[in-house]
Amino acid sequence: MVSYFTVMFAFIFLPVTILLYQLFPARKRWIVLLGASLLFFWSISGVLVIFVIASGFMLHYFGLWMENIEYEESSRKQARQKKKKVLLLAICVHIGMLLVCKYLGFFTGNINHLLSWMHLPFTLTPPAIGLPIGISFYTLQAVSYCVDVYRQKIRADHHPLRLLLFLCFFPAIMEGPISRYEQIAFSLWEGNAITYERLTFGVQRMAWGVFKKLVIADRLNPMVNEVFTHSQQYSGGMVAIAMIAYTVQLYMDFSGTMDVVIGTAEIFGVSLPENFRQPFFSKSIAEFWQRWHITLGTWFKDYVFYPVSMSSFAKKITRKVKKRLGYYYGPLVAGSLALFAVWICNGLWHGAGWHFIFFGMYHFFFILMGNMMLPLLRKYHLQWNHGFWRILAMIRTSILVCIGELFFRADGLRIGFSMFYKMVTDFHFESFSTSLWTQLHLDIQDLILVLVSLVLVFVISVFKEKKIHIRQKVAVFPIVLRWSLYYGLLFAVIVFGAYGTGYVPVDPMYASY
Amino acid sequence: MSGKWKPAGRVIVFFLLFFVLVWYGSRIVEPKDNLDQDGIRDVSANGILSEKEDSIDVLFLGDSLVYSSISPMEMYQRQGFTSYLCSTPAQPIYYAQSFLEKALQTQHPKLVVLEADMMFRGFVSTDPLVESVKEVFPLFEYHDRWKHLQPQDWTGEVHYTYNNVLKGFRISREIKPVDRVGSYMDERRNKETIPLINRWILDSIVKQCQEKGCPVLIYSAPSYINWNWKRHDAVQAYCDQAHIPYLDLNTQIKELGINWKEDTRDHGDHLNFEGAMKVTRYMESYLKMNYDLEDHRQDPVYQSWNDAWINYQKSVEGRQ
Repeated sequence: MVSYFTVMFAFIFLPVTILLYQLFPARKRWIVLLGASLLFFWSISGVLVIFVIASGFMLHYFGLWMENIEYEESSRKQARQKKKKVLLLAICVHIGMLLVCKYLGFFTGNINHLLSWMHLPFTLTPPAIGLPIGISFYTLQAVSYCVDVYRQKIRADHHPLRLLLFLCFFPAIMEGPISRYEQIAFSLWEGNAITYERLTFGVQRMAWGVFKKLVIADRLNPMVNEVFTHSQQYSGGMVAIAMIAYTVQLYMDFSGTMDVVIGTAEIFGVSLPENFRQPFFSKSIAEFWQRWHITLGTWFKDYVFYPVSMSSFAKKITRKVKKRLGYYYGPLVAGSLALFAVWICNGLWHGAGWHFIFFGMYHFFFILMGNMMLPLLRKYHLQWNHGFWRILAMIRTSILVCIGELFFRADGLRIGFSMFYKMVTDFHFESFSTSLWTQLHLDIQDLILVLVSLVLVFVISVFKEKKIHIRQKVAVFPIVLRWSLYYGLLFAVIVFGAYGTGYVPVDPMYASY
Repeated sequence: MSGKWKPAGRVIVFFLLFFVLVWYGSRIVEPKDNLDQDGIRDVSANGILSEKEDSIDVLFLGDSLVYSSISPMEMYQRQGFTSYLCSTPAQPIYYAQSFLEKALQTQHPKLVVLEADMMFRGFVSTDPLVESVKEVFPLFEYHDRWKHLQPQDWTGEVHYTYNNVLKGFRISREIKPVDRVGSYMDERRNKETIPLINRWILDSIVKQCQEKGCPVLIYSAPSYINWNWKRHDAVQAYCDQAHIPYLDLNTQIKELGINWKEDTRDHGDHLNFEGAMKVTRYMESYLKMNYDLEDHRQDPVYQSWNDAWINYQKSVEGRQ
């Protein structure tokens, strides 16, 4: 089983899990979910499943440790200090595992570059450990649990298996969303019966996700791969098209997978948090990140931005500069430091490479600029909130996002810059000959199909933006119309999906981050 | 219908209707001929669909080692029996079974020959199921044909007309020698067993053939890269158990006269045309000697094979 988009998952693993879940008594249904989750993890990562099991049990231990300190220490201050040490230890252990599995190669590679630059005759070889699936996601969940127990926002869980299920729940293990303990742990444990309504709504959402991924994202994949791999052979105009196509591909792939994930969880009565809210309707980069990968953004806000901006160091800076820079720009300095920390972490979280760090810094720059210019914009009433200006702001943000994704997708920072340079300095299009279409693994029908599908996605996004709940609306349509829509969606996936002979299956893109 | 059963009834009706629509969609997109321009997959192997009913004596199934090592037209020309190669690149064993089922609908071969390399080929465990679904509902295989649908696709009947003069054989005259020729069969691998799922399918293929009264022969084409004693032993053990003859041509390289410096097109992975001719000569004698295969060369019913021989020769000469 490689992903949620395989026959094994959709027609064997999930139906069997649903059946077993329903057959088990309500109090024991968590066993089915935990067993299925560990099996799913094992089927992808093999023995590396031991990492998530270890994380689950350690999480249990650290939680109880902090709780015991609370009971045992009479002085609140002492208790807080001791708990802080335990929290630091818990964070170090979990982040340490992530660093070892994901970043050791990157760090040793850079050290080796340095050693060779210094003409030192030795190199470091990182051990080949392998990357457990979803480690970037469940590690953040583990850290959030520890911090929330420390902050007494939640009570420590006394059941290690509930914590393990919270970490490795199979629909969310590959790409999130990054859930908080209080959001899902108990609904996972309750064993809510699968109802007809939940089943149909869940399957509908899954079908919509499969449509976005198979019909749009995977169809664009060969063309994007071709141009990004051989960018030097293409004109600046074609690089720009590939950049936009990649952004569309990433959005359709990630949001489509989220639809499948959230739909699957919905069947089991688990409400996972949403990860997308029409991101391309954003008027600024800051707003974009409140609508794109929402759970990652809120995680960084709660567990990096606030702790850094509220630290005594940041407060000290604010006090010092407030007198000089005033009440807006004064606190902004400390806020910007916290923002910098967030975007370094965000870039690195996406992958071990300098282009990911650049990706983080790129967004940091635009958010910082936005913050700094806000008083000016307010003063001259240039906030671009209405009508034409609003659309212009959305287009501007989308262009900036696409450029950021160019660096994100490029095979290294140098290639990213060379592609960007080509796009800016050599913007023209080659003639669209038959051989070019063949080279791009696309034809005119593919292009029309993708454009029509995107129009459909856009219309639905507009409805969602206007807070119109389409699924509820469709649910009360007359049966002929309703079923026609369902059949339409299913047949669109079957007929127009990029699967089967002639297509290379594409794993969910965020699963590799 | 009570309230409890109403949702279940709806689900059943929904899926019944869904399958009717999928069936209808399948009829539209399935290729109406087995020609390349009709979009059929594996054109040369599917050429068997247009062979005259009950006209094939020997059916070969397997991966690229088959179409690189056997020429049915050469065997016909010298021995007079007919054969066809339903072989495709990297053919998994479940796909061989699918071809067998397809072929047995119109043919009644006197012998089914299986190449052994495919028995070791791994695949995703759901692939055989997917293949079966594709056979029943070709919509899942040929869904991409929406781009090329013609008016006759909506109304037309399926009618296969492609006459493959090579009968599944593929000609390559390229020579890329084995760099260092040694005793490749001695190469030790840690473990070589026929995977369980492959074995099940193999059992099922053998059973299917027995039910149709077709004897089975398993053979291994010479392949410097793919074959060794471990694999030979695994196949031999299976054949002994199932009472099937096994012909491993890798053990008879000298008798065949295979020269790994000249008779391979890709450093020992596959044979080239010269290598294939050597194997074909050996195979035709072996088959003629061990099986009751009629000579059809003078039979007017098989005139199309005599015509095909002329075109075959042109193909061979054309690729010199």
